[in-house]
Formats: sequence, C-alpha cells, structure tokens
Amino acid sequence: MAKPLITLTVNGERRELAVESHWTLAEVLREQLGLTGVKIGCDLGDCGACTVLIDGKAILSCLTLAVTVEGSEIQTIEGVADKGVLHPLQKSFLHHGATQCGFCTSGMILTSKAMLDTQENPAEEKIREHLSGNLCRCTGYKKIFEAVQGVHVERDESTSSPIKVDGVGQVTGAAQYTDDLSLPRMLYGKILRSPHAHARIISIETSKAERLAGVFAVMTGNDLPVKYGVLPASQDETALCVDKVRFVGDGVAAVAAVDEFTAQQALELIDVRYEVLRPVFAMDDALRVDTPKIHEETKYDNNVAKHVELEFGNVEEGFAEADYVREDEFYYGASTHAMLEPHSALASFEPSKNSDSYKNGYLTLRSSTQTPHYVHRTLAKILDMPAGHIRVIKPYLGGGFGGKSEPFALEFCAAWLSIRTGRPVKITYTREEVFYSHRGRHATKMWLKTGVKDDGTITAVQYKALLDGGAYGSYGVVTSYYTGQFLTMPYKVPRYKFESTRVYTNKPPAGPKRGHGAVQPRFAFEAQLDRIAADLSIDSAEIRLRNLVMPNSLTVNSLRITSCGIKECIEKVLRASGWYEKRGKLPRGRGIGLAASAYISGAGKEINWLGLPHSGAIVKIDRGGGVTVFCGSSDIGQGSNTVLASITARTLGIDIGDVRVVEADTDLTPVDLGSYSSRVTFMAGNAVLRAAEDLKRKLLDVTADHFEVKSHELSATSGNILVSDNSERRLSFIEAARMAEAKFGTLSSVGWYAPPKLGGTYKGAGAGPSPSYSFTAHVIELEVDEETGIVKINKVWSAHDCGKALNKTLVEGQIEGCVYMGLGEALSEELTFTRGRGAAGGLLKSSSLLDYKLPTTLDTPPIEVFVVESIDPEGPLGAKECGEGPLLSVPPAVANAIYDAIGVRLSSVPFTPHKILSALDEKVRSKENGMRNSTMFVEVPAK
Amino acid sequence: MIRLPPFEVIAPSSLKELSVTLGDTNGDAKVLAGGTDLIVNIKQGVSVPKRVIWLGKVNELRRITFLPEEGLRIGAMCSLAEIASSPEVLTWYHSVSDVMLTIASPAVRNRATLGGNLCLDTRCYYYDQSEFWRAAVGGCLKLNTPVCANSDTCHAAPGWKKCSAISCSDTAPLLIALGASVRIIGSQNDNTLPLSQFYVADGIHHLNLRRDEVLAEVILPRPHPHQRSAHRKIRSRQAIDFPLASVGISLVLEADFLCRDARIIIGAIHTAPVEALAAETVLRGKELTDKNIELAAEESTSTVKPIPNAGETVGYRKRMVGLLVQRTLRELRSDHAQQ
Repeated sequence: MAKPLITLTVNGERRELAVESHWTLAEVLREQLGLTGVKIGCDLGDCGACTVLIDGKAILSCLTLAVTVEGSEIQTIEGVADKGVLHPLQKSFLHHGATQCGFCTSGMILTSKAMLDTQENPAEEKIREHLSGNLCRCTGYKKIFEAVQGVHVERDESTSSPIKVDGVGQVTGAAQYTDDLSLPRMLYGKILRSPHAHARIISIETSKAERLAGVFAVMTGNDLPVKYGVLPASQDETALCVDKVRFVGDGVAAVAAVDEFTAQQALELIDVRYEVLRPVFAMDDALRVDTPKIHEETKYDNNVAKHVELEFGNVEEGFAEADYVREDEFYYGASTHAMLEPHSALASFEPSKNSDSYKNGYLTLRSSTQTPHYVHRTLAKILDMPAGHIRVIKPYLGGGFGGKSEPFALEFCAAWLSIRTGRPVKITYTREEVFYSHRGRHATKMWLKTGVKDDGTITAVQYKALLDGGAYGSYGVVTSYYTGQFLTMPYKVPRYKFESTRVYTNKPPAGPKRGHGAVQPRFAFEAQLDRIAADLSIDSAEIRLRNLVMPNSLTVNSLRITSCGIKECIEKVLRASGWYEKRGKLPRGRGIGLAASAYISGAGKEINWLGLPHSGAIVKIDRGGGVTVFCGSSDIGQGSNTVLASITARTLGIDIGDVRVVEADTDLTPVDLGSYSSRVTFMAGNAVLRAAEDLKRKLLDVTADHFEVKSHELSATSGNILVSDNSERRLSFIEAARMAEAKFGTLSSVGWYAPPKLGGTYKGAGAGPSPSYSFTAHVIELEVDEETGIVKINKVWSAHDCGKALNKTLVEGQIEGCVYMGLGEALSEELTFTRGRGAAGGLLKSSSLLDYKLPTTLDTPPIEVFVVESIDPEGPLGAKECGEGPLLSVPPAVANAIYDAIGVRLSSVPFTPHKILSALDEKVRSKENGMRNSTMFVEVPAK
Repeated sequence: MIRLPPFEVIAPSSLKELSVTLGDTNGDAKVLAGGTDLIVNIKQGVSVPKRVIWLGKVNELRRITFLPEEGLRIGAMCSLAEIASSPEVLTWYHSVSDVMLTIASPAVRNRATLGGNLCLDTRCYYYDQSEFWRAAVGGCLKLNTPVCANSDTCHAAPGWKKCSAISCSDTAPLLIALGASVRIIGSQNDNTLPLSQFYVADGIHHLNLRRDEVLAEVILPRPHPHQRSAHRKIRSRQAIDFPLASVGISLVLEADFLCRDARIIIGAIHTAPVEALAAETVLRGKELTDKNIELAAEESTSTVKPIPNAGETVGYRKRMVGLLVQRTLRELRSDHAQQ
C-alpha cells in the first residue's frame, strides 16, 4: 500500500510528504524532516518536550498522528528564529539563564510563544498555568518564568554576553543530543528485559528473531560476559545477564535491526526460559540468612552488599556527658533522577585494516554519559580492546543528576552490535527503561541518637542506616560511607559513631543521585535537631547557630573544612524570611522551617585510586586570538563549559565569547573523571586555571620585554596586556599572543588538578574527604490543608556558600534546581512497587512521568536565592560546589515547617497527603508526642 | 521512540460518511478523536487496532450552539480548550468551562476532545503500563478479555471476577449532574440517551456504546435560573495528573437556601461515575445547612468503595470523596449567598 501523501507547512515551508498512517508527527518531524529540536522525553504525553505549534497552538507531537494534521501550519523550534536572527523569546531565555540541559527548552519556548502570541505581558500565574504541562527537571522553572516575563524588556545587547557558551544551540534546536544523531547505514538496537525479579536463565533461543527480515544481529549475556562495575570494589554487573536476572527490567538479550519497530518485534521472538527464584524485596528480608542470595559471590551469607562501622571518639562518654539524649527513627523513600533526556548511545565500529579480529579495530561511542572516562575504560575492559582504539564522545546531554554517571547496558550493547554488524547502531531507552536503569536515591531506614547539653551543644551522635541497594553495586560502597561520613557537618559533633549496611534486593539498582548518600541522613539529623530544640525550648535557629563548624577546622572524622560560610547562609535566610516574626507565630496550618547542610566539592580520592590527576586540560591560543579549552569534563546542562570558559577568559583578560570549549571527547580532551560528586568547577576549573595561567605568564613575559617592565607590573584585562599604572602602554591580546608564539613556539599549555592529601588514616578514611565543602541553609514557609493532607509550599529562601560565583546566574540556577528536586523528593516523588511475592510482585509501579510525580510549574513555589561567597583558598578563583549541596536541607526544612504548621513530626519521606492525615489522626488519638518504641529498625546482624 | 504498529486511518468527512464507515468497518475499527488517550493506549499495546476512524474531518462534530429552547449542544470533536473559551459555554455553564481547564495540561487540552474525555478508557495501575510490564505482572482481567476469558487475575483486588478499572473522566461527573444527554450515531442509528446511562459498571466494557457507534454530541438542557454547579477534584499535582477522587455537583438553590434539587456525581473511584443518591436525598427539599452538608458528605463517603488500583491509599481516596462533597456544597452555598 502506497503511503498517503500529505501536505504540511513546516516552519513556513510547504512540504509534500509520504507518511505512513501510523506515524506520529514527532516521528515525521524528527526523522523525515530532521527537525530534531522536537524532543522525546516520555513519548506518552506526560512531559511536554515534544511540543510543537499547530496553527499557532501548542500540541504534543508524540500523541498526534501526522496524517491528522494534513494541511496545517506547523512550527518547531527550528522555525522560531528568523533567518539567523534570534526571536526575542530565545534571547530572553539566554539572557535569563532559562536553559540548563536544554532538553525541555524547545517545548518551553514554543508553549510560551503560543501564549505570548495571544496575550501581552502575562502575569506569572498565567505563565505557570500555561506551562503546566511542560516539565523541566533542571531549573525549578524560576528563570523560565523570568525569561517569559522579561521578553519585551529592553536590554543593552552589546554588553549582555550569553549566560551559557553553548546556550544558542539549545534555544534554536541546533543542539544535537545523542538520540538526535544518525549515521549512514545506522541500525537501531533494543534490549529484551526480564519479566522476573529473580530467576535463573535456563536458555535463550534467538534463532527466530535472527531470521526476522530486517534483523542484523542478536546478542545475549554470553557475548560479553566480563563483569564490571563503576567501583573496583563492586564488579557485579554484566552488559546483559549471563546466569541470573535480578530485577524486573534487567537486560537479557539485545537486537540490532533496520528500524526500531522491527527491533521491537524481534524481541518478542526471543524465547527465554527461566527458573524462577524466590525474590527478595524488603530490606529486612535481605538481612535474613534464609532468603536466597542475589549475588552468590559475596562474602556475607545474607544479602548484605556492604557493611561499614566507624567510631570517632567514645560516643558512650558523650551520651553520659549529655543533659538530654534523643533517639528517633526515620525512613527516606527511593527517588530517581528523571532527567528529561532518556539514555542514548550510538556506536560505530571501523574494522582493522590488517587483522580480522575486532579487537584491532576502532570503536567510537557517542553516549549520553556524565562520565565518558569511566565508560571509556569499562568498554576497553568488557570488549577486551585497547583503550586507545576506543573513542567516547558525549554530545549535548539532557540532564543527569547522577543517573548517567556510570557505564550502562546500552553502551556495551550498541558497541557490540556495531562490531558484529559492521554498521553504526543506536540504542535509546524508552522512559520506562530509564526508570529501570535507575541508580537513584537509596531508600534508607535510619536510627539516630543525639546527646546535647542543656544549651543545645551537641556532645555525641550515633547513627545507623540500612540502605536498599537494589540489584547491583553501582556506587553503593561509596553511598555506604557517605551516608555516615557527612553527619559531622555543618554542626560540631565531638564524638561520632555510625554503622551502615547496604543490602541487595531484587529491584532496580540504586546509586548516586544529586546529594549522593548525604540527603537521607541530613533529613534525619535536621528533623531530630528540630525536635531536640523543641524539647529543650530552644529556638530552632538558635540551636543550629550554637553548634556550627568553623572555618579552617577539622571534624572528628578528619574532614578538613577550609572556607565556610554557613553562619552567613543561616543568617541570610533567617533575615529574609522574617524567621523570628514567624516561627511559632503563624496561624494554624501555616508554618516555617529551617535546615542547613554541607556538601563536597568533588571526592578527594579517585575511584580507582591510581594516584593520577582527577582533571586535565589543554588551553591553546590561536594566531587569530581565539582561545580553545580542551577538557574531558562533561557539560550535562549545569554549565561547566561556561565555567571553564569563564575561568580562561578571566585569567587571560579576554571576552568569554572568544573562548571555545571542546569537552568530553576521549580522543581530543585530557581525562576528567566526569560530572559527578560536584567536582567539575573545583577540579576541572583548577586544571584549566593552571593551564591558562601558564599561557598568561608567557604573554606577560613578552609584554614585559616589550615595555621593559617586570611581569608583575602588568595585567591582562579587556583583551589587552597593559602596564598597570599606565593604560597607554599596552599590547592587544592578539599582539601579545603573536609575540609569545614567536618567542616560545606554538601556544598551548596543559594544566591538571589532583587534590592534596586529605582525610584520616583509618580504614574508610578515603570516603568523605574533599578539598572543599559547600554550605547551605534553607527556610521554607508552607501551608498544610489539614483536611486533604496536601502541603502547599509558599516560599523558599535559600542561601548557599559556593566560594565564589564564577557565573551568578548559573549558580542561582543550580540552587533553584536543587530546591525543586528536593521539594519533589519531600512531597511527591517516590518509586513504588507492586506487592506480593509471586509474578506480580516487585514491579515498579511508577515507571512513567505520569505516575512518578515531578512537580509541575503549578506545584513549584517562588524561590529566593542568596549566593554567599566565602572565597575558597584552593578553589579556582575561590569557587566551590553549588550543584548538589543545596538539595540536602530541603526535605528537613519542609518537615520542620510542617511541624510548625500543624504540630506533627513526620519521620518518613515523602510527606504524602495520607501520611500527613495519618499523623494528624495519630496525634488526635494520643496526645503524647514523645518517643516511640523502636519498631522500624531491624538490628543488623554481625557478619 | 515507541513505534506504533501499522494501522489504516479512515477519515470520513461528514456524519453521513461516518455512518457508512462505521457500517463498513463492522465494529472492527477504533475511533480516534484527539488521540491523547487512544495513542497512549496504542503505544502501551493495550489497543492494537488494524483500522482507525478519525473524526477530525467531520465538521458537524465541531460545533457549539445554544438555543434557548434546546439548550447547549457541544460537538464531540470540540477540543477541551475550545469549549473552555466558548462564549456560549461561559455564558450558560461556567462550571463546564472551569472543568475543562483542570484537565491534564494546556497542550493536551488543545487536542483532547469532549467526546474523547467522555469515552476515556478506564484506568488501573495494572493496566496503564507497557506491554512488557503487563506481561511481567501476568496479564489482568481487563487486558485478557476477550483474548483469553479464563483469566481471573485481578491484581488490584485479588479474587475479583470483575474488572474495576476506574472511570477518570473529569467532564462526566459534572455533565451528568447537569442532566446532560449524548447523541449516539451508528451505522444504523442516531439516537440520544442520558449521559448517566452511557456508563456501565464494568471496567472492561465501560460504555454503553456498540463498536459501530460513536458519541457525536453532548446536549445540556437550559439551566434552571437558580442552578449552581461545580466540579472539584483531588490530584497529586496541579496539572497533568488524573484525579484521585472527583465530584460534579449541581444544585437548584432558592433564595432561602432551600435546595430544590441536588445531583451529586462521584468520579474517579469506580468503573463508572457514581450518583450519590442517598446524599442527594439528604439535600433535596431541605435547607442547605452545615448539618445537612455534613450528612450529605457522609452519605457520599459510604456510597464508594475504592480498591487499590490508583495513587494514594484506598482510605485516603474514600475520605476525599466526602471532603470534596462537603467543600463543594459549601462553596456553592457561599456563591449563592454572595448574590
């Protein structure tokens, strides 16, 4: 049957297209017309990323059949700029820093444009309503509202340089994310997933699938049986399952076919026989020795994956010394990153010219990864190929938050299928598969005991945690340390003991999510401290201020604190929120809460403990005056390219617009460990700074010769090298660069960063130390509907010590995004599973963006941000972390505000409406609100 | 991307052609309106049509008219956004405009239609999932019928023989409360029935609609001069989400708060909108006092028995029904007092 011919006007151009009746408009626009600015975030109408305008109205192209818009006028993001001149809305998005990863941006701009085409100067409430179907995972929406409202504001464009060096591609649709790429002869891959939570694979029959027309290759776990894991200590994964499947959604086989539909069909022809094993879902069950082991090879006889016990000082003495001791239990539910861009990998293999073995060939993998270096080294291991023959490139990336910070099955499968077929192979996960890949926040049970003096001074803290690791190790060993190590900040804890146990269960693997490991205990501690303050009739702010850590101090577990602006952070949010006028004084139902936190600026120890630099950079000056930075760091939307460009521009005294950044390409860029643990500004920034300073020295050297002055009398600024006391005596940057090249040869320099030796000497001392720590305080005001249990956040005041804001807009954006994500975790987001031990148990219920509740524009409050600058002595130009820390204290600030509003203490995150109603009911039933008996926490048996 | 399996799209361009097409396809085609429900179902593999009849070219289905003697007629293919901003709707039934603006998200409302919302497939945690997911859970009542009738696996309510997937339409409870009727067009017929009779208490075959019929039009009688109505719901987020509980209420209130008539329809709990008859009886002919409002709320709560097939807990959803009824009645009373 011939395909129907339809006529569409797309971005002003009349197109006659042959389309199949069942093709969606998104498919036609992306694949037939190459308009890849149309993004697929969920593919089910829940996220708004695929929004296009049809006859001026915003519609979801993923739910619209192309044949049903015949004759319509369609506008995509590519049609918004006019002949190379940006639309005011696009400029406004750039100016206000309204893009981070850029994946929601085309939908946001088009939806806003449809609104602005019919109404002028809409109020913020209108904008919120209008954008309520467009989810953004990065920004907390604030800068998007500002961009829409500020669209007609006159700006001096000569002085307003773009906030993000790579922002223009994001607002025009030109930015190519991995799934937007295609190569000639490219095949599509799909992965078959286990329907069982725990089962032994008896056999896999692939011949029927192989015979299906259009199928080029089928692979199973046996093709790549080498184990891997991002940490050397937990090598417990394979590209596809070899012997056993360990959660519903575990990968079992993969196919490469001529198109995605054929690949989908081929999966149905693969016959896998399983011997179903008893699954282990509950953490408490995982501790029992009479449940089946999920990983037989571990040293424990139950499903413990990692157990840590550390004591610093004698806590019993500390509790004996205390005037008041309180114990509480807490639970923190599992949540996931839900970045808008699903994982995608595109592999292309070039055979060796003189050997038939693939191992001598060359492989290029483009992947949506936060950690190209780890993917690179793991690919070499799994494929048994020299790393030098493998190139990993990270294209534009649509959000990570920790969910793309280790190797994933699709990267190995795409690589292997490309090797096997000799053709490029692309695999992009569906939204559901993104949920199965997970590596998000560990569900954690916590027990916390704190002793204080009458004045609130902390004498000792003891903490126990039980972490639900899901099916694999991921970064879990680090999580097991991080859950305990960071409780000694931002308050002085003179004696401290913790025990943590991470267990395997038959669920999608948990891993690092923004604020890795530290978020759950921070909730517990801040919530308990609030209770202690109330018990002792001390103001919640006062008890915090009395216990703060000091700059240039050492915690009891040997964390070295240098710059520290925690006091200023707390004072700022107290003042701005009107804390003292509000706390305890708002009408019933309304409340205000405070919490504070600290977080790392990168881990002091590299994962592989190789003693090598954590970040490397090359800076090169072109004869034309252009400067290029080459760094393996990955811009995942947070703006690291901009930060590196900014450091270079400031150092060399040139405009940021003259600096280009080449990032995340293992062939071109020196190693950077990746965008995780909030390390990029600090570590890659320092590497770039060092390289740029080296070049600056050369420029000053030739300029000093030229004017016959000393180098220290010169400064580099505004595109010139000039004698400081006489701006008439100067060389332009280009002149100086040419002279320097004549004198020193080609102008290029390298810089690298490795943290100083940090931390204690005890076993486990390597996890926790960071060259610098960031500090945050939040005050949150909210109201609770005591009849529905629904919490409405009215306002968030957030102050964060980032050392030095190298780009204030980007710093604010990170803080606002952290607040947004923290509120989601506090109130609405949780991974929930079907109950039952049979086939129907252990399935992730919330495996879509409909059922997993990311807050919409209408659920997100106004956020007021204060950037505190403590000028870090070792950070690049004084800067440190801002991308994760500001999440930590959000959930406890909400809990503490709920108490202020309705007088109930919530111990379990998220604070869903029914939990709030139950707590209120409970309060009515028993007026006592003291300590409960310990019921939730099961003692961890000794090994 | 999730690829749709191939199907043919037939696009009749008049009611007459539609009638013929319905006859020709002999009930073997799925009817496509805005697609915001059906395309999701096809992507999830719960619907695998070979043929799709798209109604977008039938202009008769896109009209909104108001005649004093007849009332308001809204074509099934009018989008929710069009209805929300229609002068006729805003003048005569503001609550109908209001409910439209609470559904899903603006982009969905630009495409989703009234007919589609009224015919919205019933929803359940164990059904609205991918093909893979449902296979992993081992199928369910709603899915296996009619392919395999011997399944008795209801995961939401083990042991149940009858599917209780939820009617999540936001428009249905209010429109029923307002006394709406629907015009049904088939290959052989063109008839009208009360909207309340359009729903069947069966999660699988939840519509009183033959496979060769389509819902063509909604007819609302001219409102009583003292009529007040509203739709309220609870949902997790303020956009995108389906309701966890909803009510559509219509009252005829005299000057002294005497309740001449009351219709209370509860949505999003059962397989069909449920009329809270006992609650209506409490109110009818009585004064709308706090006490009567509370009684009506209690009666509404006892009318429903949610099962765990949606978000939040069963107890919570049940409790919210009473609360919504209570709050909506109070709101209508205070609106009334202000005039």
